[in-house]
Amino acid sequence: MAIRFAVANGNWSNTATWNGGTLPASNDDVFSNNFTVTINQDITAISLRNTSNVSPAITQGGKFVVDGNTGTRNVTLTGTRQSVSFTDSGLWQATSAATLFEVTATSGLTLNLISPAGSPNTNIGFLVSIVGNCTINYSGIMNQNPGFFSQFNVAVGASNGTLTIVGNPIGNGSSPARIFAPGYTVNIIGNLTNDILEIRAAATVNVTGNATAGSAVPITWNGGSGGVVTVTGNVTAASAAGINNNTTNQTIIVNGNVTASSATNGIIGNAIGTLVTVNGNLINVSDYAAVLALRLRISPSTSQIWTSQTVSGNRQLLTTNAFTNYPIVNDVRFGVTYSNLGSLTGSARIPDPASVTFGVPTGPTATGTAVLTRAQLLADFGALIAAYNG
Amino acid sequence: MAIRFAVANGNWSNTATWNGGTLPASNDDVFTNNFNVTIDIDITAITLRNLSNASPAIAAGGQFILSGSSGTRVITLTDVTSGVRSGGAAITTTAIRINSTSGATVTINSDFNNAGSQPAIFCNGNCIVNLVGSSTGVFGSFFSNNTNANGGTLNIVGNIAGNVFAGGGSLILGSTNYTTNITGNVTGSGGWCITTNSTTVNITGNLFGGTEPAINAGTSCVINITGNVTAGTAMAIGGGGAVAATGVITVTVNGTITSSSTAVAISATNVLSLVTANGNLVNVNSVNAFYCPRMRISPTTSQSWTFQTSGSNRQLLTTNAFTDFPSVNDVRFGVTYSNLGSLTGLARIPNPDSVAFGVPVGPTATGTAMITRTQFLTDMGAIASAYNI
Repeated sequence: MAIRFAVANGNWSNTATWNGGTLPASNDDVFSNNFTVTINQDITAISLRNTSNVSPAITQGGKFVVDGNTGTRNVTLTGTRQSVSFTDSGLWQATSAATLFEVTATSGLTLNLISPAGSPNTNIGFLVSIVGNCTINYSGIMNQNPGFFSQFNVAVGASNGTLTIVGNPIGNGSSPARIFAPGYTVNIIGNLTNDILEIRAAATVNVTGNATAGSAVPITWNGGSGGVVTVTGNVTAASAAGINNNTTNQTIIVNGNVTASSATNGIIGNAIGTLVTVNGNLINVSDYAAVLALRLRISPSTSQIWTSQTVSGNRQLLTTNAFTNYPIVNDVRFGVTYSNLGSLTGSARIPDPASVTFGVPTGPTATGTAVLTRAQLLADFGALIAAYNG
Repeated sequence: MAIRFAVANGNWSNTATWNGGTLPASNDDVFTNNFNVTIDIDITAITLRNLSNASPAIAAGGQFILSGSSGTRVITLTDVTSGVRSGGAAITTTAIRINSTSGATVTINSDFNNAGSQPAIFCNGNCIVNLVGSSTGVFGSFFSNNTNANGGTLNIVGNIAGNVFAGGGSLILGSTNYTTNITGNVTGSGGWCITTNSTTVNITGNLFGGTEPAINAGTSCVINITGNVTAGTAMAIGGGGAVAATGVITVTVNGTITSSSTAVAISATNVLSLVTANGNLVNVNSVNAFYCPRMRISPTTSQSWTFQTSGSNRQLLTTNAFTDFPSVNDVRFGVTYSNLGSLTGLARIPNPDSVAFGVPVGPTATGTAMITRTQFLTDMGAIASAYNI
């Protein structure tokens, strides 16, 4: 493992870009040293940094740029950040608002960014800046403070791009990711905990996982209008709400359960024009409603239950298909209609006693009266023949 | 009918108080003429006014004052639109001022269609005021603002409508611990109908939002409604204009809460506010029936909540809203059902082999009990053999 650093602006693949005149190896910590290094090939390193260093002397600043317009670029960082130390991080950032990692693509680029820890050093800034139309697949653990994901910035003007996050990001309570790009699609496959997303444009955000609040809200807004957030998972409040919308005309869809806490609502949608749709169950806690919204829909078809408090205990509101205490139609006499839904009709036929073997119960009180049993028939014929022989 | 007016400060019962030296009669319009007249007896008149008049010349101002600390006083005004007409621009010049330290009961039988810039009646004390009549004035009928009053009660029998101007209130209830009981419908219009702080309002009737809320709720209000609450252009209960009630309010509705296509019926944003809905809730155009961080439903009543979906409307129901269970005689023996789990089917359905061939039994089967020809012949052969036939 060595420290490597750029000595000129240039491509990663150009040995003249680097001190020592050779390319960095997979077990190196790589510094931009106030230059701009263009990642024009797949790379593996321990870390990428634009921080300074004492020995060897490295200047803070610079950045790593991925500018491929087509194809796939793989960036694999193997550093794991267990503590704030020099050598164990994947991506490092030196200064506030500086961009360490810039992705510029006009079409078709897929960047696979793999970092098992992937935490910036300290400052809150624009760690990853995305300009253009590309797909970024990020996978890694995002539980640092501040979290790597909290540094994603999708620049204004980007459109039609996709950011895919695979991991379980945990916010630090003060610096959620800022999604600036209208028309940008952000797919997160993993659970969101604490403050993760701050949506500032009409972006489309799809979360496949749970959104669980801590002291801060996993999904919130700061400007922008007309976006769509879909959570296929559960949304749960803690001291903060799970989703808190204060920006007009947002669409929020939850395909899962929404649960309040004893301090606040699971979802707050108090902006004019914002529509919250919950397709799962809703659970109020300590009188706090699962959803506080000016506009609210439920599913047209799923089985749903809303649990509320009363002056004396909990009580449930159910969709009709969540109510299971009607007998099934196969257990109800043929032709009998029942349920206040008017849609159930019994299908069980109960034969008349005359069609039922003698003594066999049929209906609520009757027994069969059909006496033409085989044994009886045999006895009758026997008697008849005996009479003829006699 | 005549115009009568005071010529000195004094009691109503004192002839020297009045022009002409006689007491006003029940068919008179009675003016204060910028004097203060103390109503010390039960009275009946067409109107009580502190407005000016051209002929006879009457000055604006003055008040009718009720200051009894106990006992009962009844005022009956027979004008069908506005018995009390206040021209006062300030509280001190409301037409009627009630000063009572304890125990007085004042009943005013009158309609209120006040054209003044302040309510017709100002209550500055602890007493029971019964208003019997409707109130539809620009500025309405009643104002209370004595924070030192304890346990005062205002009873209103009649419908109340909001003002045509924003910023006023047909009832302005500012007295701490004041209780207002309204039997009648309350409707907001261009201005809210009731504005209230730190009081309890009990309404037996329906509540309708207009272009402004029916109730402009301030802080620490307890509002109980036995009737329906329905939004108009604005919510039925909220703050002034389109602004929600930001103070802590507690609302209980024993009736149906219905939004409009543009407004929730109740809007209370304070995190400690609580809405208890004991009746049905109806969302319209995806607009929630009410907006409040904290909510309760009834522990016992049958309730439904109607929602819009991406398809047709759909309801959430309490378990006791599911009804129309089949008779136990029509349900298969041993099957338990009903929302109480207390019903068990009694209808026995025989096995097909106990049922005559071809007779339907159960949901899909038919009876199979029969003697086949083969069996019959076999049996007959055995019998013949036994008897050497």
